[in-house]
Formats: sequence, C-alpha cells, structure tokens
Amino acid sequence: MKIEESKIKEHSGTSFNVTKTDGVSKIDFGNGKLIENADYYGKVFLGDCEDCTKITALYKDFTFDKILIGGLGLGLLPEYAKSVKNCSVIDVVENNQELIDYIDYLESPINITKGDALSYTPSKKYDLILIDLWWEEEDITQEIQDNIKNNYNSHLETNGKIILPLLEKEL
Amino acid sequence: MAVPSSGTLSLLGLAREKQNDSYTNTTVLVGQQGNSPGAISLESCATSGNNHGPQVVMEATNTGSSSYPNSSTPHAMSEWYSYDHDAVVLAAKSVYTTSVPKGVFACGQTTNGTWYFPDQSPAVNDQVYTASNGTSPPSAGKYGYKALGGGTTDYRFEVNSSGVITSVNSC
Repeated sequence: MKIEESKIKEHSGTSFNVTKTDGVSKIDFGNGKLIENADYYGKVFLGDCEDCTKITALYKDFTFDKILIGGLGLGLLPEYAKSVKNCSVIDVVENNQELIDYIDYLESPINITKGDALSYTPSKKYDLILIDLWWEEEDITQEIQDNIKNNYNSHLETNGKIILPLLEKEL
Repeated sequence: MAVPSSGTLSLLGLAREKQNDSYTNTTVLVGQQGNSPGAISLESCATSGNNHGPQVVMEATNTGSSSYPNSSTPHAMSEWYSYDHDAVVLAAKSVYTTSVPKGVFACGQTTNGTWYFPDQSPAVNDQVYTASNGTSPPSAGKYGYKALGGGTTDYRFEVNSSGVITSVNSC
C-alpha cells in the first residue's frame, strides 16, 4: 500500500526534496536518507511481510486500533495504518514543519502533530507506538531506547507495544 | 595470470602456474627437499605431491577453476587451456540487488539477481562480487539474499564501497 502518486508533488525545499523517477516519488533528506513511495514500507514495518520473520513476530497475536507514529516521512505508515489496518486513531508526531506543510494528502483519522517524537507527551493512550526516525540501526543507542520506553510506557493501553521497526524490536 | 586459453603451451609455464599461481611467474620452481627440480613432466604437473621425483613438487589441482586438467593418463597439454591454479571458488546466491534505504526493507523482497560470496554463509568482511569470475563488486548499499535457493530474501546485508560486507542479519 503506497501513496497514490497523483497526490505527491515534486518539491525542492530546504530540508528535503521530492522527485519522481519513472513515476515513483522519492523524498530525499540528504546524505542518502531516502524514502521511496513503495508498497513494502508499511507492509514490513506494520507486520505484514511474511518473510520478515523478526518484525512479523512482534505482531503475532497482536491487534491494534489506536496507533502513534513517530516520524512522518512520505506518510506511508499512517496511510497503511488507515487503509490496510483500519485503525480508528492514527496520530503522527513530526518535528519538521516544512514536511508537515508539504504532506497535505493524508486524511482523517490521520492527525499530524508538530513535536519531537523522542520527548513528546501524548494526551491519550495507544495500542501501538511505533517510532521510525532513523536510517541506521547503530544510531539507536540503548540510552535512546531507554528514554523512549520511559517517555511512552504510561501511554500504552493494556497489552500495548512500543516498537522500533528498524531494530526489529519491542521495547 | 592463468594458462592461456589457446595457442602453444610450454611445460615450464604449466609448472609455474601450478606452483607459482601464474603461467608467467618466473620464480624458481622447487623440487624435493627444497632443491631445484631435476625434471618436469606433464604427469608431475597434472598430479600432486612428489611421487614423481626427482621432479617438481605440486599442490593438488584446483578443480574450482573453470577449466582444469584431469589426473588420468594419457595426459595432454590441451587439458590445461585456461587453467587458473589460484582461482577462487565462489558461492552463488540469489540476491535482491536494489539497495534499500533501511536494512529491514531488504527482507521479504523477491530476488532479482545472482551475486557471488566466498562461501555459503556470508559474514562480515567477506568480499562480494556481482560476476561469477570474482570481479565487479556491488555498489555500497543495503541488500538482501535468500539463504537457500531462490524466492524472497530471508537475510539482509550491507556492503561498503569496496563490496565488502559490513553487517549481515537474518530477517
């Protein structure tokens, strides 16, 4: 499940660019930090990739309806949560105002809030809190993981989970 | 340099290929007890050991070379065309050859090419090639491979700009 290409505009900004190659959009934050408008993004990170054993195991016997996503990107994860997972609450925390202004194609129930996903204090509880801010696994230090867990643990519903998909890990 | 693929061959060149790893390497050949070989025969080149003394001492024939002489009599110079005594035997694996921005996205992808590894269990510091003859390393990036056979990837790995593996993980 990807974003309908007709909704994505090419963009040349200060913090990122969006280009289309062969009809496929790609957002480039520089230094090789790219996100392509591809089906696999939501499928892998939200547990529907059959051969992604480690991530898929995190979602075994786990259903979620209310999700908080840290990091907006092209909007692939919230769109997947809405269209495929049929989540009723989809909140996204993003600290890049230029990106928030650019992503104008996501619709209710997706709600985008400006904030730092590492320190954001939610006003509600979620079944799933998924933080996707990094490209390299080694960037997610144990200290960062501990801080995320401390920050969000009290904002989980019973049996809720905090997942760092890049590490294929539940906190 | 391997044995030429055509033309006239010299027995001395064959001995050099077998002992010096190059048809044209003029390093002095070694015989029994470290002495210079008293004689070189085609049989001593095609077989291993020093049981044809007082002749040159040979290693076993590298059957990983794309072409190699057999050890059966009658021996023939023509069996040596293109023999490469130090040819590396590479293990072929089905790979998803498109670099992905985040390692986990290389999981569950349909393989679309064959790359070559030192053995069947790729590991950190292994050199990877995109050609079966041990040339053309891949570009730096994050890729996936199928451990056995073809289909979708169940391992992911990253290579540096020299095509050397810097990380490898099961999916």
